[in-house]
Amino acid sequence: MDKYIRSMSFNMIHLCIDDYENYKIKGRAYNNTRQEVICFNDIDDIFIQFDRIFDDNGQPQASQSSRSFTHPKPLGRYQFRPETYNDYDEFLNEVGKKATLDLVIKSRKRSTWQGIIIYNGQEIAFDSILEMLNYVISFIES
Amino acid sequence: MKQMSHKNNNFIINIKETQNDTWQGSIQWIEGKKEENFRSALEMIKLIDSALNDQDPYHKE
Repeated sequence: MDKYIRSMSFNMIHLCIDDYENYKIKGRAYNNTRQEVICFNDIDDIFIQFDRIFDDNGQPQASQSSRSFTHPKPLGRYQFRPETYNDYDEFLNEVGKKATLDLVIKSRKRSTWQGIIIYNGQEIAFDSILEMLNYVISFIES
Repeated sequence: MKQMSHKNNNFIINIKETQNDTWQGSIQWIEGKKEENFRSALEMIKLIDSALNDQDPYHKE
């Protein structure tokens, strides 16, 4: 994980899952481009909130603008290194009641996310949020 | 987290393809009388969110 923290910590999410029932995942998320804790009542909340954060940060830049029923938002300007407020290592002390994992979002191609899940020392690549979600649920249920 | 109250919103989702480990298809927003295509599950979720936020008087982008 150190290599990701050194090079792209601003694209990492420290995910603390505190509750899981009937596929509803609740918890807290941490990212060092935001000073506040990001609480979520379901996993789709994380996707929406962090997609906005990545748009604002300009990293990782989306390859396509997302469609909208109302007001489509233009792609944000690319930033090589968005401003950060914390050392990512500080988040590692936060632990979820059900599971704790880290996500490295390397790219946002094909209107979805690609990256790495880091869980219990393992690194697992994913090509879409659906694939990532399947892994997360399998970790919680194991 | 802010809780929003909404009128009922109904969507019809048509999954046409499952390429790139995700879904592609179309989503119809019944109350808004609109239909959009989506290229991923994430884009579908964001389309639903855009419809719900349009109903929220405190959330205007």
